[in-house]
Amino acid sequence: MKKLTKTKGFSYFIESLWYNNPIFGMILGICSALAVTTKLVNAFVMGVSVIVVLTISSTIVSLIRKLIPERIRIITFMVIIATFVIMIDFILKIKFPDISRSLGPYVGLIITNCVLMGRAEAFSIKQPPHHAFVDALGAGMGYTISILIIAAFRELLGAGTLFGFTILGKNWTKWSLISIPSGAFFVLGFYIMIVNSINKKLGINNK
Amino acid sequence: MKMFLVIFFASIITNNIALTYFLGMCPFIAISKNIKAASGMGLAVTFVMVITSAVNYIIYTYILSPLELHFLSFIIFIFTIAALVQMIEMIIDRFFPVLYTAFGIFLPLITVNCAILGISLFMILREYKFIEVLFYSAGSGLGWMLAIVAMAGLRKYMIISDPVDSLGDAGITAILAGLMTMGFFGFSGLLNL
Amino acid sequence: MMIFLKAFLVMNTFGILILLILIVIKRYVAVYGEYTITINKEKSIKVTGGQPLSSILFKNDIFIPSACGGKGTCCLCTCKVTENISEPLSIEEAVLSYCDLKQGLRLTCQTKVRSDMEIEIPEEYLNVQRFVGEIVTITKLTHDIKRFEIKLKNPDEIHFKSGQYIMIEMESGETRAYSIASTKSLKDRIKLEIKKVPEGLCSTYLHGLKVSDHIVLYGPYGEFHLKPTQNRVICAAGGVGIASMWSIIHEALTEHTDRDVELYYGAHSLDDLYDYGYFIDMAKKYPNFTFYPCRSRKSEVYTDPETGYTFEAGVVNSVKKNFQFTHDSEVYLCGPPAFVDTVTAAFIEKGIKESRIHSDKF
Repeated sequence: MKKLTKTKGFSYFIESLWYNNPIFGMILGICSALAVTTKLVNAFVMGVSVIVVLTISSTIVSLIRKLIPERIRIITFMVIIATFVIMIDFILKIKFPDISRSLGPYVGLIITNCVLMGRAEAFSIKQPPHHAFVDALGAGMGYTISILIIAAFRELLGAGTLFGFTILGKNWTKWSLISIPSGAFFVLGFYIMIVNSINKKLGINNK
Repeated sequence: MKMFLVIFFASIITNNIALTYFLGMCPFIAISKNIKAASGMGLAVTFVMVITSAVNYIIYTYILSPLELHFLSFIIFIFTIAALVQMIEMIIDRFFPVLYTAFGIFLPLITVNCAILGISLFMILREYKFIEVLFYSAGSGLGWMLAIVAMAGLRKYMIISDPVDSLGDAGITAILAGLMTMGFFGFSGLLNL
Repeated sequence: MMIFLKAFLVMNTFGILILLILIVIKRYVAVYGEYTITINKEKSIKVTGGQPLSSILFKNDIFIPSACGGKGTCCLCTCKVTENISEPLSIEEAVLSYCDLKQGLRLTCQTKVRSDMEIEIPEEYLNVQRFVGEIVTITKLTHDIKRFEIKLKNPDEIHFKSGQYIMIEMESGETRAYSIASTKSLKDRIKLEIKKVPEGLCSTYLHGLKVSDHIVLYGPYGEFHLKPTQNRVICAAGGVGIASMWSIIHEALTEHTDRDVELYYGAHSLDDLYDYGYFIDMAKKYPNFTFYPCRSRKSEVYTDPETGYTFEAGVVNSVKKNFQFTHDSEVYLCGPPAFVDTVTAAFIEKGIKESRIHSDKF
């Protein structure tokens, strides 16, 4: 186990999981972080979809990185990402139609999610497949953990439930401020503040 | 006509794509630092949004629907957007250098802006007709521009105020955006969409 | 199965159609006329418009320096447009001051040629040449600094002023500036001292080269060079900033024999203060040369038992302690931006006018 933690792959994983975390490290992928976090189950499905698409597309980009001509770099990334997003959207529509309907077009917006483009452009195009894979896995998991935390707050305080199970009984007054879009912004702002304070205490400098 | 105006104003105020639907957040946080850049970006977004929505609508209705290839819409839309942005950049650079000075440099960044793709997807979801699409996209673009320019104006004052250090740029923008959304929400009784 | 076939066909036709439209538009829309660019009121070149000014000048063998690859951040490529001044772009507004823009200063990497233009560039740019050189020796000076000796192949001679720099071209076409670390008497070769910066594109590229590798460079550039006055030459170098001082000190001592020279040379520790022994020997050889070595990361003064030299705790302290102001002092500084700022302030406090301080920030 100790040998595993010393490998370069592990350091890339931790770097994109925490230091370069999409949400609070690099401020990317905020669009969906705000939109799907009203319910934990939505956030979870979104997070898993992002992890799947991100890891697969990053690995593929890395595998064919020597063959991509410079001029059509961005288009190639988009085609690869779009293909897998279409597949994921299809799977969601068939297996989980309710969740797919409440996520709406935001699954499709994974294509333009800055996290995927950003990782492909900055990392996968220069690194071998195994490094690209762990970096994508770290970024995806970092993103998922962040939106799960935000969603947990919003669902618990806004509806008294977690994953649909009632936690705070009938006497809990729902915080409607948190369920509306403003609440999303506020929770995001406070989340960033808390994480930055933790980073400062631990002496980690993200910039 | 009334319906068109309702869609137009709703997409600017009560259903503002940046503040209510969170589209185009990444450049929103990054570019809202100064007003001139913000207005340039907003103009670029509006311009591209109207053109791409119209073209995407035509492609969807007359090519994808008859062939029952709805699932291809993601990839076709993003292709069209990328191609159109390139064409717009070439045409503006050649024939309208004044426009190029105003927002030319933002055009390459717009291809991956969630707002442009988002509007195309939303218009399909809501099953708008062609004229409705035009009003919707124009309104959404202008609404996005309003949000980002207002945010730039507010952030100008952040230099002289003293927010908590650990909030950083993104944190304070998020909180300000939340307050702005609440302000816009106050108009929701006005329009019934 | 049918649906996948249909999808495949539609996507491919669509892709090809878009490609064709883009090619057609590029051919008929992105066509700019022929224009004349007049440079410094003497040279005129005929060009096809539409491209940024810097690439057009480059194609015509006028090598404008650049350190940011055309992104508009380094400001090395600034020129003055005297006729047909275009509206400034927001990138230019971000890096050039209002006064500069009003006078017509523009970034050549951002301004596109859309009409006849009249521009003014520093005269020396017209004498800049493209050199192909071969690396003959690589010396490791410290854990992250290497000295490269490059023999010039084509053309085989370079004429530069002490303190000037050259631009190294990487494989991607991007260039970075480095001071010439050898004396100008060595006409057929130059030496460079390169510190490996962790995220630095060019320093990583250079540190990966071997002896007998070929390298492309442009030069000489720079307004930072030894002025032909009779003033005292006061040099201050931080870390690898000593690279530009070699030629300045050598020329001042060998050619301008009645000028006094002082050198304040500081680095983080004794290990980073490479070749300080060489300067101690020079001080013995030339009575008008005084050497003040310093260590910047230590707070105590250290006296070397062998040579008797005292290493001050930082260049600023050494200047405060050792520098005597005279009206004929001229200061040359080279080092990281923070170093240049603090040492400039130290010299101003001692009475040196800003016009007498010449600096080269990294």
